[in-house]
Amino acid sequence: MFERYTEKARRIIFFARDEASQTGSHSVETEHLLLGLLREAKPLFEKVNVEEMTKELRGAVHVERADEADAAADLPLSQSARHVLLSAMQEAEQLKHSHITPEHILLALLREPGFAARTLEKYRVHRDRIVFTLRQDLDIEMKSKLRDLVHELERAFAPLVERLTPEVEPAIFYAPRPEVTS
Amino acid sequence: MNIRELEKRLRSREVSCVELIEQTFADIKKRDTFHSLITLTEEQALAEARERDRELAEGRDRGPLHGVPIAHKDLFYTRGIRTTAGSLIYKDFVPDYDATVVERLRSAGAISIGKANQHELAYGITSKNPHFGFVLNPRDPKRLPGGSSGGSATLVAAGFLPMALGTDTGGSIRIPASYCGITGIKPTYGRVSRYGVLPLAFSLDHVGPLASCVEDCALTMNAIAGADPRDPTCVHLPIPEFNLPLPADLKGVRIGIPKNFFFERVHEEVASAVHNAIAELDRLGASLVETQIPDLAAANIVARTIQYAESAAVYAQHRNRALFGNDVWALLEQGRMIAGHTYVNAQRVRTLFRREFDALWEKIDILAAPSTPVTAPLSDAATVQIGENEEDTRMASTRFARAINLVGEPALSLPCGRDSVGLPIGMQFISAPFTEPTLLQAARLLEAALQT
Repeated sequence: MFERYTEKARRIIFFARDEASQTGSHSVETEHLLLGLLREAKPLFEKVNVEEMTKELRGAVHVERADEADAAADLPLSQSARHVLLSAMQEAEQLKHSHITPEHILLALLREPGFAARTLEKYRVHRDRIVFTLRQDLDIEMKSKLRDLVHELERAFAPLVERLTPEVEPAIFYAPRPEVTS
Repeated sequence: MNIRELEKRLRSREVSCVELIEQTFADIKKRDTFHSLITLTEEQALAEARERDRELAEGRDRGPLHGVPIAHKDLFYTRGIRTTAGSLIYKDFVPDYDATVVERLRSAGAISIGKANQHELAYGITSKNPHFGFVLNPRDPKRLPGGSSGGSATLVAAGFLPMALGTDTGGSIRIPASYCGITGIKPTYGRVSRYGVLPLAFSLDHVGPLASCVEDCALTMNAIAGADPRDPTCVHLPIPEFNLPLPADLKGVRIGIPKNFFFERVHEEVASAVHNAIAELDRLGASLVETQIPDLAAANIVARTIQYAESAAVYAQHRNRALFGNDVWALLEQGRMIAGHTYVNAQRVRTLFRREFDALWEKIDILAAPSTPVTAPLSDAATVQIGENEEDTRMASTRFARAINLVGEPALSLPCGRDSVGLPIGMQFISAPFTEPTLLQAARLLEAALQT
């Protein structure tokens, strides 16, 4: 499931697990994913008070647990957290991106009903803005790929120009010799 | 079903023009699961059919195309009928005049049943049109029909029509003809008017038929060829008879077998079918000449440079990306990046290739080669396998066709066999400028020999 996740996206899940075990949860919840995202991908939360949001989330998910020894164990993903990671893949597909990045996880979290989505809404994190930025990034990436292709074509073309002597005229309004008939 | 068979049925009154058109529409509505058409023009076709019937009754016969159902790729201007070019830009475009070729086919008596689906803006070879439906290959719907004249090819291959008009800028007639197992000819540049044909790349665009057999191509050429004051690139030459009587053999015809390029990166089943056809040409008495041909890999690069730049020029004022499919947009973007001096020099290198081809025609009359390196590729694969090599589907499909648009020579694709899974294999006949009549004649003879 995680082959197409970028390193950054994988680290979000790692941090989410860490958050879950620190707050004494039995499973990794969507709120933990958001906490992981806040730790790993701060630049996504421009103009948002990340500290306050983190505090609020941690306060909400904290559970008192007797058995602290469990904390280090590999905690399972809750059903809705699993759902978020699956819909992150769909977000990437819809945008025709080959890899899953933190942005896709954020988009998926915005869609999953629950405390995480409500918190994001409260802090005015909106889908449109994220998608817009993603598209712009993609345009820049595509342009540079296409530029590479054109350079490749021009490199292949360059040796042919060597064959030109000044009297060779362009064939723009070319039509084959009309005197050749069958 | 070919034009001559229909001609016979119509003249013997076995069927009327109206009945034939009715049958054609019924057949298309029942069986066209290939997304061949963007617009059907039933009312207009029936009106024309009634007129053609009346004429026949009065003894007025317009010739072999009289009453024959045909279709036009959706980039030919048709007066009062939407012409989309398979694009959102033109989705509501209704021209107020007919393309010269549309006009000429109508006056030859042919009846258009509608506008054929195509690759968006004719800029691609898959005919997977994101706006009007993916065209499917009637030989195997999981495979590409080729393009850009995909719908024209499927209408003929599925047996709905004997002929549909297409255009060829980098193989867009010959590639679908090859993948669908039909015949198509890209005439000499300047032989057929481009007036009223939506351009893709002005200096590379050619108009021609995709048809059920070589003779259908020849009969169509008789109707569409010839000078047109409205297209300045169309050459003033007397119009020859394109459907010459069939000679007994090919004695005296020098057929060039390329030593380089065409048999280098080609699927072995394609190569072997073409070699079989060449053996047939030998039996027909042709003189086979092993020939070193110009560097067509280089010519392809020149042709691509010109096409990218000219197409970007055509769509310079359309910068709304949302209106284009991803593949088309990517090609237009590349075109916008080509420097002015590169384009001009590409047109100068073209002059050199023109000279090399003139020299080639001193040695041979016809060049025989495969049309495409592979048979119809699977639709959902971006690459094709050729021996050890994996190659981009678009690049592989256009590799044997594109360079010929650079020099403007006539080139015909005809079926010459089948591969191990039964898919048709196409071969090309290429000849000197304005020698279509003898090219068609030789192709007809080979076609007959291969069928027996």
